[in-house]
Amino acid sequence: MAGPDRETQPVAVTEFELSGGEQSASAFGSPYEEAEVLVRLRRTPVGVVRVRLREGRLERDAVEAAVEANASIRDRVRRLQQKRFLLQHHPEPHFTPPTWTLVICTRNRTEDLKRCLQSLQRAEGIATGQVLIVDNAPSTDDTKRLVDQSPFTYLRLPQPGLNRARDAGARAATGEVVLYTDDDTIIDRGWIASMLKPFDSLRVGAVTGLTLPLELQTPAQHHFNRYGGHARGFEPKCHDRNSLNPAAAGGVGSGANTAFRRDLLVGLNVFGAELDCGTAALSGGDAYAFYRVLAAGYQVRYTPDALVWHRDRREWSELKRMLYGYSVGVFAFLSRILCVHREADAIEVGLSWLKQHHLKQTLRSVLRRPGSLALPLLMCEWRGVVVGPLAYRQTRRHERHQHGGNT
Amino acid sequence: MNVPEANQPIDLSVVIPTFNRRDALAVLLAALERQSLPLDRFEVIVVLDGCTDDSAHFLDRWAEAHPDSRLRHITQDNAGQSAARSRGAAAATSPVLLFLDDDIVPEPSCLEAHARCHQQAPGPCVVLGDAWMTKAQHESYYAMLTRMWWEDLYVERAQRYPYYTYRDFCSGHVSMTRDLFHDIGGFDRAFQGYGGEDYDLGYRVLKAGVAFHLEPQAQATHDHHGNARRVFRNLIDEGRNDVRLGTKHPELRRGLRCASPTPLTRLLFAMPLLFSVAVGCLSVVLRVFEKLRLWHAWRWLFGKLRYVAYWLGVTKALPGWAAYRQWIDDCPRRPRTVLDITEGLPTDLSRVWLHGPSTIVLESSGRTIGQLNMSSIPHGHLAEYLAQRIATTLPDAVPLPAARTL
Repeated sequence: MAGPDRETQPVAVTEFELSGGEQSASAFGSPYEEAEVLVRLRRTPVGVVRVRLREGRLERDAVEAAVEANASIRDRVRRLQQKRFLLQHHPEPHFTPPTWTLVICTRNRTEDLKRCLQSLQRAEGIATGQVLIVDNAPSTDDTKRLVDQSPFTYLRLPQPGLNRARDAGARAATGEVVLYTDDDTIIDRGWIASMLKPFDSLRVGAVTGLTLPLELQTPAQHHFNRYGGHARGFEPKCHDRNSLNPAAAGGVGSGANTAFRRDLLVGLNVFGAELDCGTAALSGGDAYAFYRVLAAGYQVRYTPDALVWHRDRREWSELKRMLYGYSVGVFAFLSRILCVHREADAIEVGLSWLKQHHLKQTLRSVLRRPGSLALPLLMCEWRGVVVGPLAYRQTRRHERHQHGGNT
Repeated sequence: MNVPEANQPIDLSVVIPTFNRRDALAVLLAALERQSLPLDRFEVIVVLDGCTDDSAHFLDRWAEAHPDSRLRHITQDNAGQSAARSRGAAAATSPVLLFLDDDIVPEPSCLEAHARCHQQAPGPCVVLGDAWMTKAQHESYYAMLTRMWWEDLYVERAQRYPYYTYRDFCSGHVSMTRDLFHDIGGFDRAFQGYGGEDYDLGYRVLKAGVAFHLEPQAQATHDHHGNARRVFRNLIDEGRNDVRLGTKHPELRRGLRCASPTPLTRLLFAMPLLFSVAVGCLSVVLRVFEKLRLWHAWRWLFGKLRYVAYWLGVTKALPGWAAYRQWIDDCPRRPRTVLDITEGLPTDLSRVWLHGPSTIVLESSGRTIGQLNMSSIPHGHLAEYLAQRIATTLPDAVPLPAARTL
């Protein structure tokens, strides 16, 4: 199945609505032979299928055949249909969505941001809340000019650091819930309402959604996607301290598609300045935020209905850097919760992460199992394991130095 | 002690059982002062259940300081919460009783909300109120888990609208028509120690045909003072009282936790003493885990100990394995309810009503297509719960549109 040619050919990315009605573009240019199709039923994402295009066109029959051949999608569709039928006389329970603020942190990526803002302007309910673009230590005024042309609010933060920017956004936000996405994404039309819907009780502290690749053009993007990408499946999940060890919070979701209750963001100080982009820790800010919310006894919900398309790294070198960064970030995060919160479970989680991920994937890669990561990428991840705790030590010292020991 | 003036009508009688918690009483009385319902519109009856502290003296001084209040206190020898509540209810002069535990702090609009519900109700009525746990500044791991569990209960109870179960009745914060309370016989004093008496009363209310009303305005907070060791004592009581509940109402038996034995249960019946010693010893290990902040291990062990403590309670109520088997075998079959889903789930699900465990027979176009065993209380919204269960466990039950017209 996974021949080398398959990995290098660009693949079109699109979506398909099973119930008919609105359809996105079904004709693609000549370079595409296949399409990665997100299948939806009345807008609920139910799965992804790979479909061969006929003369650059996506045909209904081909998608339906692919759905028919996929047992998990078929089952999900059946369940949704049955529930819809059974509940036809039962209106959904009354729900007043919380007020919201969307925070997008960006740095010198005006082109990506432009596409993101365009998708925002098409989103449903965008006028019901506040949108803040936090420009993080920019070197030009391009982003400011772009945002000034849009209906959104611009906020400049001179100090670098993604977590600092997220925190500044949370403090400037007026909504009860703060939504976060990255600048290199496109949000789905129904994203905002889908993100707010799980905030139906005071038990819910954070919500995270489904993140899918925006494009599959380069080998690096294929590789990352085949390996799992950012997606967390098509079943909703509800995590809390009873069901998930908070130290394992890294696997809950992605920072490109999350929402937090604002009082928790400010009260628990969930975006520690020692983590994520712009520090030596490189990432891990989202994992730490989920950790804090779970450890304080709140639920973190995952909902596949809230969909964000994320442009993954195009070049091998970028992908390498990113995976290295994730690895450093995870171990910096674990070091932080071990040192600051005395969370002994961090050791257990770190070891099982090494065993389940690093060792297993390396073994698979050496044995050339299908779907395994390339060895050079894994080597980057191993390097990150060693560097992570050191990086955390370094950033902590740096913070202490700046704030006179107040962290 | 103030004597209420006979001709002035009052809306509520607040009944508060207490045992040696003067400070908690002070907080509760301060909250009663802040109510939007004026102090002279409700009476407060505090039942001192064998108090040995200066609660009585404190109440006298409070009553002197608030001449327009109608506070009374009754002293009795320690006889347990049920007896204390019954004593207070017998002394009440208003047609509506509001039971509050001494560690509950009602919000300012709480009493008015209860009074309003009862005034608007056409007949006898039970109003459930919330009592959210307050979050301590530095709460222990155990306290956090307890708070999470507690909040889950309230959130689920609210989602259950409008179908409440006997387990949604909590005697810590609830109001009911006084005549209803007396007609169904009040609290059963046979339930000793922690738990059980409210489930029993709630069940008798439902059986009398009175539905619960959950009032969103009836809010209160609640200072939890427990620890992991006390919870084992409570669990032993809970196991014992569950057996009592199942004995008194055999139709509830199949839905109780003690009706689902595991392989370990038999061993527990064989040597309860060994297991109670083990719980004692291992609760020390629990403290070691807490010191080392090994939460994962802590939770695992805590779960096991909870299980053993509960079943120790069961062994106290039923003398041996044979008696236990007999008790289980004697319980009646689940009542069967037919649910016609030809046109989807019917809007009125009160026939699926969950007074107790039941078997739901699903019919479509006059044909039986499957059945659901409703043993335990359904989670959350009843229609969604049923739809989810039917969709996951009976894949062929519901006729679907043809695959092509998805």
